[in-house]
Amino acid sequence: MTKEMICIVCPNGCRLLVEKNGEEIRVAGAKCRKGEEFGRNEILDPKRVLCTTVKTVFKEHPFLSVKTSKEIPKEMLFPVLEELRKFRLGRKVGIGEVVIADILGTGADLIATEEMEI
Amino acid sequence: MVYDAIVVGGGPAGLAAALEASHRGLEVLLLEREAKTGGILKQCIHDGFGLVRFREKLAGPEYAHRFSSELKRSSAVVRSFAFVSDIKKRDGLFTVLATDSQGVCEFQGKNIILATGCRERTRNQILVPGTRPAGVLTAGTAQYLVNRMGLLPGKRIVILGSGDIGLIMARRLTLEGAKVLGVYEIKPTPSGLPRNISQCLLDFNIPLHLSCTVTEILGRKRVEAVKVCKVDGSGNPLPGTEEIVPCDCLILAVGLIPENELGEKMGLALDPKTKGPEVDQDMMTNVAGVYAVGNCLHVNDLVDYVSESAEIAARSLGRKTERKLVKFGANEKFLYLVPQMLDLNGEEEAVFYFRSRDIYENARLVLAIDGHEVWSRKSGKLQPPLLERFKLNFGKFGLTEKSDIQFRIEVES
Amino acid sequence: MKLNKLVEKVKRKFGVEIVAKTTEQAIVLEGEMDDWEKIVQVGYLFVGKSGKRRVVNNIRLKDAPPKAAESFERDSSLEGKEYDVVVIGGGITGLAILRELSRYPLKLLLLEKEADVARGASGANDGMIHAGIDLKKGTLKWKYCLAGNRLYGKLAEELDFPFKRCGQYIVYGSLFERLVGTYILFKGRRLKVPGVRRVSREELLKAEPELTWAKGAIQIACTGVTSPYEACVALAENAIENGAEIALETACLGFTIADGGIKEVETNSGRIRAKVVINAAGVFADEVAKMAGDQFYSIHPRKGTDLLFDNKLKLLNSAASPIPTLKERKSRTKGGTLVLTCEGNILAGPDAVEVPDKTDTGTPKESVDRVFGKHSRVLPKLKESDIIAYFSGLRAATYEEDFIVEGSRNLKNFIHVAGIQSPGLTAAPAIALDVAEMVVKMLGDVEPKKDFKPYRKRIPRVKDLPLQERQELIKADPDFGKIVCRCEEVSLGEIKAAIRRPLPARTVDAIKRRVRAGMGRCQGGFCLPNVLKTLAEELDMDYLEVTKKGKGSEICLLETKGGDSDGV
Repeated sequence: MTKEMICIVCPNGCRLLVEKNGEEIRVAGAKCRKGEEFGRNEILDPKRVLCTTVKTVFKEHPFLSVKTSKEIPKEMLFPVLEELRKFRLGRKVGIGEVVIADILGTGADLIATEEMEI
Repeated sequence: MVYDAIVVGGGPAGLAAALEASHRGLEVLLLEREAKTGGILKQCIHDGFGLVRFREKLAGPEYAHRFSSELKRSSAVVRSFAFVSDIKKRDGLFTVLATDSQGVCEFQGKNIILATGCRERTRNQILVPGTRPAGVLTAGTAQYLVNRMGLLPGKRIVILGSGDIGLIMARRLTLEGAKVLGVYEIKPTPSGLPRNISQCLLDFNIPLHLSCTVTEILGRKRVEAVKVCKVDGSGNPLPGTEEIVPCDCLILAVGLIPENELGEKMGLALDPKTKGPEVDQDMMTNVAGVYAVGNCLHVNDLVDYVSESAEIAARSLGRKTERKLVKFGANEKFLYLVPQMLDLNGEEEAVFYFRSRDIYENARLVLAIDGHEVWSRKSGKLQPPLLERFKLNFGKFGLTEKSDIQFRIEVES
Repeated sequence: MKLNKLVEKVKRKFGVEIVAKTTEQAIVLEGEMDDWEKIVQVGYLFVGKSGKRRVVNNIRLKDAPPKAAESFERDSSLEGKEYDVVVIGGGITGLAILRELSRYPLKLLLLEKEADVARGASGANDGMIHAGIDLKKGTLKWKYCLAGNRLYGKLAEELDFPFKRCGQYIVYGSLFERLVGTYILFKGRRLKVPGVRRVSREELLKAEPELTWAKGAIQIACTGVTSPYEACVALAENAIENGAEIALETACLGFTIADGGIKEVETNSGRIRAKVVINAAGVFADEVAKMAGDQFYSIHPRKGTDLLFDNKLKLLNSAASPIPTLKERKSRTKGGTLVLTCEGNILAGPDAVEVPDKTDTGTPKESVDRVFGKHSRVLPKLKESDIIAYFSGLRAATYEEDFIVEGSRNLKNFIHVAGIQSPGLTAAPAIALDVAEMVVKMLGDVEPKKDFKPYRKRIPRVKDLPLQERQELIKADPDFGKIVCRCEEVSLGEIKAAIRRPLPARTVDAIKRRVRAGMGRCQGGFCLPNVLKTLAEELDMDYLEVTKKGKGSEICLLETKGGDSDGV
C-alpha cells in the first residue's frame, strides 16, 4: 500500500510518499533521517506525543500542563484522555517529573511540563 | 536606582532580554503585567518549541521555564502584576511609570526594551456582520479557557483561519471533547505549517475548507449557526455558494497584531508591513535607547527567533555609540524584512528575518549595493507562513551613509 | 382622507386588499403583505400627514419566520408583593422616571426582562444629546428634546456620569450647501434652539483642524454627548440608593384588570399589585399596551448601526455632520453624525433600516459600508481598518413618529411612555419630570422626601486618576493596582466594585459596560477569562454559570475534566 503524508518532525513539513510491499517499506521525499524514520513508523504503527493538561486539587494551580515522555500509539490518545478526565493530581510535582507512570500500559510516563507554584 | 535596561513584558522575548543583560553584569528590571512571567507560552501547552535552540520539542511552559528559572537566580529584578502606562525620555534617561498592587511607581533606566508581544485580530476588525451572541472568541482566548481553566467554549465548533494557532486549537478542542466541524480559510492555501495541517486536522479528520469564509453569525443569546461562503481570488463572496453551518461556537484565528501603544506614544516609527517599530540590526528603534524585540517587532513563528532577537538587543546594551543609520530597500517579493535599517557603528554581523509575499519555489536572496550584486544565497522554497532567517556580515562591504542597499528575492524559473 | 379611500389607495399602490377598522382606541389595519417596507408605508399612509391619527398596524408579513417564544426562568420571588408604582422597561426612559419618582416616599419597582439595564436602544446609540434642530415645532419630541437638553449638565453632575457639551458643526463645502445652512439658521430660531450660529472656515478649522475641505459650518453650541449606558446605570443606582427596586430578568407577561384600572402585573416572578403602572417598554411597548387591552399604536423597529474607531485617531474634537441632502431631510431619521465619544473614540452613524423583527439587532454588512461611506466624506483620513467595534440598535418608532407620553384613556392608572426613539436619550430627563407629575396626581397628595439623596459617585477609574489619588486608592485596596484589561487600563478593583454596586454587574457584558473592560482594541481577548473568574468568585457561581448577557449566553459550556462523563 502507498500512503501520502506530511512529516511532523520539524517545521519543514516534507511531503512523504511511503510504500509498503509486505515487509519492505520505502520512504520518498524525506530530507533527513528522522523524516525517513517517521514515514516508516507512521505506516506501521502511527504514534503521537500527547500534550494535554491534568486537573489538580490545588486552587493556586488548578491545571498542570503535561506531556507523554514518548510517543504513544494513535489509537491510545482518546483512551488516555478519558483516563485523565477523571484524574486529580493531589501532590506537588516538579517540572520534568512523572505525574503518572506508564499510563494505560503504553510504556510512556506522563510528565509535568511546568512548575507548580503552590 | 538607575537600571541599565528596563524590559517591558515578561514573555519569551522579555525573559531572554533580561537574562542576557544580567549575564553581562548589567542591572536590569523586568516589568510583567500578569501574575507570572512566561507570556503566551504559559497557555501553549503543546510541544514544538525550542527545536532550533535546544534541539528538543518542548511544551510552551517548558521553554519559558528554561529562562525564568535562570532569571530567578540572576541579579535581574522582576516585578509582576506591574502595568506600564507611560515612558518618558528626558536628558538621555527613561522614566517608566508603572502601576502595581503596591501603588504607582516610577523607574529610571538608560535603555528600554519593549517586549510587549501581540494581540489577536478581532471579529470586529474583520467586519463579520450579524448578531453578538456568546460563543464568539479568538483562538488565544479559547486557548486560555481550555488550558488554564479547563473550560470548553463550545461543543460544536467552527474555526475561521488556518494559521497555526487555529490549527493547534482545532486539535486541542478535539482532544478535550469538542467536535470541530471544520476550519475555514479565506485564502486558497492554508496559512499554517504543513505539519500542523497533518497533526491537527488530518489526524482527526477535521475538514479544511479553502477559499471560504464566514459571512454572518447567527443566534441571539448564543451562536446557533454561521453562514459560510466560497470566495474568489480577492476574497469576495461568490453568490450562490452560501451555506448555513449549525454550531454553538465560532473561533477566530485571523491574525496577530504587534502591540505598540507604548511605542507609538514615544514616537517610534512603525513599519506598516510588520506593524512593529523600525529597528536597526541591534533591534534599536528610531528613538535612541529604545529597543523592540519579539512579537511586538514582527509576528514570529518560532519562539527561538523571539529569544534570539531579544538577546541581540541585550548584547548591544551600553555598547551603542552615536548611530550612523542607513535604510535597506527590499523588493516587492518580500512581505517584510527586519531589521529595516543598519547602524554602521553597530554590530557587524546582522541577523535578518523575513517573510516572502507568496510561495516561491526556487528562490534566491540577493544583496545589491549601489546597483552591484555583492552577495546572494539560494533559499529554495519560500512561503509566507514560514519566517526565514539569515545572517550577514556587513563589515566587508565598506558601506557609507550614502550607500544604496537593496535586498531582492529573485525567483529562478 | 376617509378610510375606504385609503384602503383603495393601498390596493392601487401595492395591489393588496387590507382591512381598516375604526375602534375606540385607534384605526386597526389587518391583512397580509409580502414586503415589510411596504407594510410600514401603509402604516404611514393611514396616519396621514398630520401625524395625529392613532394607527395600530397588524398587517402580517407573509412567510415571516415564526417568532421564537421567549422563555423566562420562573420563580415566585415577587408573588403577592405590592408597590405604588411599577415601571416596565429598564431603558433610559424607564430609569429616568424611576429615579424621578424615587424623590417621593413611594414603593417603586422597575421590571426589566434582560439581564441588565439599557439592553435595548438605550445601550446601542450614539450618545448624542441633541439640540433639536431637525425636529418639528409643536411635537412632543421637540418639546422634550429642548427641555431635556438643558437638564443634562446638571444631571451628569449629580449622578457622576460622563457628559460633554461639545457642540456640533453642520459642515458645508459648497455654495448650495451654504444656502441650506442659512435655512438651518432660520430653523434654529423658529424652533428656539439656543446657540445656533454660522462659523467661518477659519473659526471652524481652529476647532476642527481636520475639516480642511469645508467652507464653513453652522455651529450648535448646546449639543452634547454622553455615555448612554453609564447614564442608565447611574440613574438605576441612584434610584436604588433612594429606595427603588429593580428586578432584572423579569418580564411583564400580562395584567389583571378590574374597576377600570390595572390591579396586578403578571410576571415570571409572580403577580405584583400596583397602584400605578408605567409602560416604558421600548420596542415592546405596543405589546405591553396590547396586554392591557389598550393598544393605540404600533412599534415598527428601525435599525441603526454605529461604528467605533480606534481611540488613537485624533481627528475630531466635537461632533460634525455634513449638510443633509434633500433626500435625508425628507426622511424620518436624521442622517447621523461623527462624534467624539466621552471615551475618546470617534463614532459614526447611525443609518436607518426598517426591520420586521424586534429581536434583530445583528449588524448587516450593508449598514457598515453605508455608514462608513457617508461619514468618511467628512473625515477623509478615516479608514475601514480603524474600526474597532460596531453595533446596531432598534429605534422604537411608531407610525405617528412622535413620543407618546400620556395616561391611558381607558385605564385610570396606566401611563404610556412609548415611541421613544431619537431624541429619546436627550428627552428622558424632561419626560421623567412630566410623568412623575402625572403619577403624583394619580396617587394624590404625595410630598417629596426630605432625605432624597441626589448625588451618586461612580466607580473610580484608575486610568484617569491623578497619580497621588491613584496611589492612595491602591494603598487602600491593592486590587486597584492590578490591571486586568490592558487596552483600557482597567483594574481588578474596578471590576470587583462593579459587582458590588447597588445594581450589581452579574454578566460579562454588564462588567464591560460599567468599567470598560473588553471595550478596547483587543475587545476582551486578554481580559475575558479574568472577568469570568472574578464574576464567578464574587458571586459564588460556577464558571459554567457565568454568562455574556443573561441565561442562555453562557461563556463556556463544558468542563474539560468534568467529574461525570458528560461528553459531546
